[in-house]
Amino acid sequence: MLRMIGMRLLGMILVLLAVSALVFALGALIPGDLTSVIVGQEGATEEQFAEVRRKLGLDKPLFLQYFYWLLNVLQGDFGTSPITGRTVTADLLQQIPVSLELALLTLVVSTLIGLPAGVVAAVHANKRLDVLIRMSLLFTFSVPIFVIGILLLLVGSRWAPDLFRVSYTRWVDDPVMHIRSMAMPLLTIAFPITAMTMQMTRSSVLEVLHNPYIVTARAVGVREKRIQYLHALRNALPPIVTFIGFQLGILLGGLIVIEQIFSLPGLGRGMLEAINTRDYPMVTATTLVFAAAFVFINALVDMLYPLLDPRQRGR
Amino acid sequence: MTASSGPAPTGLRLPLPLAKLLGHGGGAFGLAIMVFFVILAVFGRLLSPYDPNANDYMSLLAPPSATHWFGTDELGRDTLSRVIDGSRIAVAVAFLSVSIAMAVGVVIGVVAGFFGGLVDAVLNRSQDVLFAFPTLLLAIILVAVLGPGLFNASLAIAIVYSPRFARMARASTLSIKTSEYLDAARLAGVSTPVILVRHVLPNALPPVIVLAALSMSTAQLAYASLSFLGLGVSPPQADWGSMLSKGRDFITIAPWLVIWPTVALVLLMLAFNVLGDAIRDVLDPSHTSTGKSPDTIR
Repeated sequence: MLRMIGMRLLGMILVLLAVSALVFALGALIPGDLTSVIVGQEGATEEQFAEVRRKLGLDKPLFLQYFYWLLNVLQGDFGTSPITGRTVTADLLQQIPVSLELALLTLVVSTLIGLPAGVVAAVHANKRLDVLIRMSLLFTFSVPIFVIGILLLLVGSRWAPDLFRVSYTRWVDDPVMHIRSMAMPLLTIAFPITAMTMQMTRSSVLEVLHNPYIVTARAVGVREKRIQYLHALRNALPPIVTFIGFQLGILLGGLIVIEQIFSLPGLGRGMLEAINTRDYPMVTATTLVFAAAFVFINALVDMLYPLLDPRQRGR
Repeated sequence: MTASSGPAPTGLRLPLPLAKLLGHGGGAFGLAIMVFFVILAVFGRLLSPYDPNANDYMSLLAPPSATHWFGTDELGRDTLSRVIDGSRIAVAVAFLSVSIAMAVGVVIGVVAGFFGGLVDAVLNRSQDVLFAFPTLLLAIILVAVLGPGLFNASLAIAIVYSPRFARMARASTLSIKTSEYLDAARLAGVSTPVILVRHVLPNALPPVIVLAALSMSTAQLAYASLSFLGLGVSPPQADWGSMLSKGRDFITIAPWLVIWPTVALVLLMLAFNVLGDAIRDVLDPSHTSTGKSPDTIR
């Protein structure tokens, strides 16, 4: 068990290293160059360019640049933004909590609604309720997240114009306004994610429901609700949890779009802004944080698997 | 997506059994809508009532009327004409990105599967790195590197999706490699390049084509997201994603600006989705090789 976790951790670190190299390479490939952003386009002499380049270490070979960058990143130093003049880390510390809150709330909401709804759909498979649930699924699968966001905005602006039109407010400043400013974004992104959890739970529970131990439980008189939620759901969980890795990809991509629609000052918005202003340190930093979170949680899910499914232990 | 266990090649010959597809209810429906959009894309300029970029300053943000069926935007441009013009981009990106992804993925997958060993390991690991990124994130960063525009956005989406095609092609190649007809070809002295092109490639294709069909909708969606985020074609070119992003500012006073691009977008996606499922039903009746990957860009 410990050995397996160790192997997974090692694998994760290797992937993270490769990811960081790719992010750095892509950052270096973005057209334009940091020195001209800092020095300014006009009136700068060659010497000034060379000076700045030396200061930033850009005169060294790319491999060495990567090495130094990685060393700094590991110490939490992503450099200083030439656009804002602030350290990238300071901005990240402002942005990450916003995105993290939205992501965690989404997972909580989608699990609380998606799991029971999936069980209900499985138990009533192919009856009217199930068909209704699956039709709504088909809709959410055919619609991009930003379309859901815009439809909600459309409906919201018609029937409750002032309830949700709130610019982002921090919890510490005003909890009520904070909840109001997060409600629409949360609703938007929770929609497709919940649909996916529901879909996955339905098919997973459906598979389990035909197992002999369910029949046995029923035969010895275990209550039906107990069978559904304790016996069936418990055994259906592993594939559902594994699926979280897939969901996460959509969730993280969705965050970028949602933050843009609702003007939330999170990591995704920071990244897009950085791309538009050619703020290279910020682009690489935000990309790396997103990718690292993705890799890390996927690895975590992998390690969680044996805890949920005893048959996987000791392998 | 099942990566490791490719099916035995079905041996279906191309071209596609079109008749079967038309007999499939969903297939006919999806095909009809897709053909409709392709016609709009090709002949759009002839069909649209106005120049999509012409300004009519006498009717800014005009609601739908007899003169402007879908209304006009904040610059007095005809929404119907712009929705029609936007279909050009949507259709082009879907076909272009999936074709590139398929071409690149199949070559990599067949080579990796056929030669195995170090080649396989290197190609596999490098794809794993691409899989380590959320899809939209990778597409965004690639567009930032390549620069905006129709082709670059398609290329970015293609790079994001190519590993899936590579995995699929690799899995089929692995099962073809051990087949008796390949042994026979080898014994008959057929050279490796000829074996690859004449025997491996055609037999590895059917599941890949199914994946391509299923990827059309996600590719279109990915592009719409990029365009919505301002990373698509440059203005003033009409484009559904950017129309939605712009129309959001006028959502309370001119809802038609978001409604019609949404309708077009969802309709085309639905068509691609239904058509993809139909092609899967026709080409791969057992449904074993290609599950629709849930990790779509949104």
